[in-house]
This record gives sequence, C-alpha cells and structure tokens, in this order.
Amino acid sequence: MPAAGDHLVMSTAPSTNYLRTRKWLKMAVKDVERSLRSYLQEDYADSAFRAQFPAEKLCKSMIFLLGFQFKKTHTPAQIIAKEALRERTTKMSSDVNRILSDFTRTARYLEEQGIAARYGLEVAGTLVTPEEFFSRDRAMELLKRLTSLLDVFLEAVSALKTPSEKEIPELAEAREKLQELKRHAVLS
Amino acid sequence: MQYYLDLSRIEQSYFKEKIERYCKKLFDSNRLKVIGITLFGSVARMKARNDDEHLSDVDLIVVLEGINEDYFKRIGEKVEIEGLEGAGIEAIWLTQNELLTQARRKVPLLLDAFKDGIPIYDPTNLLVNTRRELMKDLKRKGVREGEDLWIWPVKRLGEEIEF
Repeated sequence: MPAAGDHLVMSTAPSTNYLRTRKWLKMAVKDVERSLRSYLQEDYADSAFRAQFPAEKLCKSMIFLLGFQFKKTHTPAQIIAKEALRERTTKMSSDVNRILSDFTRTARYLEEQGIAARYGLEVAGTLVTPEEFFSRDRAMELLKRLTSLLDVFLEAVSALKTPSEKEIPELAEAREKLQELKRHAVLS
Repeated sequence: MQYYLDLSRIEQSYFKEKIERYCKKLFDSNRLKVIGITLFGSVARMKARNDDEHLSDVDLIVVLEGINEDYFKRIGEKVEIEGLEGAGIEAIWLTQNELLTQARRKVPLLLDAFKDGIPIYDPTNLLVNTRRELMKDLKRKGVREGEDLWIWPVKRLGEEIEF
C-alpha cells in the first residue's frame, strides 16, 4: 500500500487517458456503493449527498475516455454538453451522440441536487435542511437516476466499442454495482 | 533573506501585497528552501476581483526543498508555516521532482497553471524551462486548448492516448 502522497512521484511512466478513466470510474463506483449503503441505513440526506459524486466522477471518467483533460471544474456534465460533444461530433455516430446526450442530462440532474444535499435549500425564506428535504422517496429517486446514469455510461462505452474490460477492469465492477442498484431500486 | 519577486505584471496592489506577505512567510521559514513560484489563475490573467461581491483567491505553485514527502504530513506542515497569510491563497506545494513528473504526465492542473502562469520567482529558470518543454510537447502532440478542456487529437473515439 503506497503512503499518502506517493501518487505525486510514484510513476515515471507516461500517463494515459485510460489510466485516468479507470481511476475516476473506480472512485465513482465506490461513491455509488456509499450512497446505496446510506440509503439502506435510512440516512437519506447522506445518500442524496453522496449520489452527486458519482455523477461528477463518471463525467470525468468519460471526459478522459473521449480524449480530453478537463480544467478546474465542479460541473463536468455541463462541459460534456457544452464542449466535448461539439468537439467530437465528426468522430461519433448518431447513436453514440444520443447516448452521450442522455448521459449528460442525467448527470446534470444529479449535479444540480448537489447544493441542497450539502447546505439545504431556502424555501420561502426558510432554510430547509438536507435532513428535512431528502425524504426516503426523494433519496430513492436519486438512486434511480444514479442507476440510469451508470447504465447509460456503460452503454456509451459499449457503443464506442473500445476499451474492453481487459483494458478497463473497473467496467466489470461498475456492471456489478449496477445490478446491485437495480435490485434495490426494484425492491423499494 | 534576500530574494526578488517579479510582480511587475500584477496591477492590483491588494493582490501584490497579499502575495508578498505570503512569500515572505516561505522565505523566512528556516525549514524550507524556495526553488520557484508561479502565479496562475485569475490574478495572473488580470481577471481577479476585489470588490463588494467577490474576492478572488490567489493561485500559486510553489516549488520547495525541505517539504515532507508524505502528502498527509505536508498539509499539516503547510498550514502551520502559512499561518493566517494562507487565507485566500490557494498554493500547491511541490518538490522539484514532483513538478517535473507532473509536467511529464500532463497533470491537468499543471497544464492550466503553465498556460497562463507567470513565474514570479525563478532564479534557476526551472519554471520557465519546464513550461517551455511542456508547451513544446503539447504542440508536437497536436493538443489544443478549449474553453474548459484540453483537447487531444484522436483517430477514433475511445482509443488509448498517451498524455
């Protein structure tokens, strides 16, 4: 296990977009796991809080996969919608374009929930806390959106045809997590 | 300690003074040796704001000798040395080796920092030379800068790219 900070100097080999795609995907899957766990423990505000992270991280993973590096940002879904799709239009089929547009819309929905999940919401001059705002149903709604997001992320990777699971082993973990999410979304 | 900060391109005195106070802390520390400092972000781009509605942060990359190799411990050390002068300063502390490795691996933040950055302390030309090599490499690879993205040329979507 490397010490914290070893990543700063650990590798002298060239970095690739696949390496970064993998790292962001791995982080996203972990956050999905945490969001689901909080939901099952009936901590709905925490589940909602954590549901936005995979959205941001899956977008970042996708940005690298499409051959970009993002600048400093907290809203990568908007960057995909605004710039990445336009830049790669000539390289993508209409099918891939449609899938990525779906992906971006769902990610934006989750990104937009971020503020309420962090700091609550001002409603008619009253601060509504995340605990008051995120009921079981609302947290489940976010988990369902998260399920769709992960589904469409994997669909996009399949539509691109590369990389394979051998190149990005985290895709298998993401598929497993998707099945788990689907089971719980159906049970609720 | 004698040192010279080149702040000639910073117009707003508020930010100039803030940077001077912060850097003095670093140069006065007997634990650190400052190798180079680059200013980037809105202050370097002359887009910084200091008004009733918004106060911009100052973004710096500071290359140092004598900092802890362990990042976790480094944060504690950084907060202690910076003291209150660290407020409003977003400084990234790196060793020379880390700077060169990150530049070679095209770490996104470094791309942004070097694109618009101004070396304000660079007695050995480390920052100027690193920037020149980085920009040369990006040009050779056909990388373009977009509004929010760095755009690598691809033959096929989803292919592997070496940064």
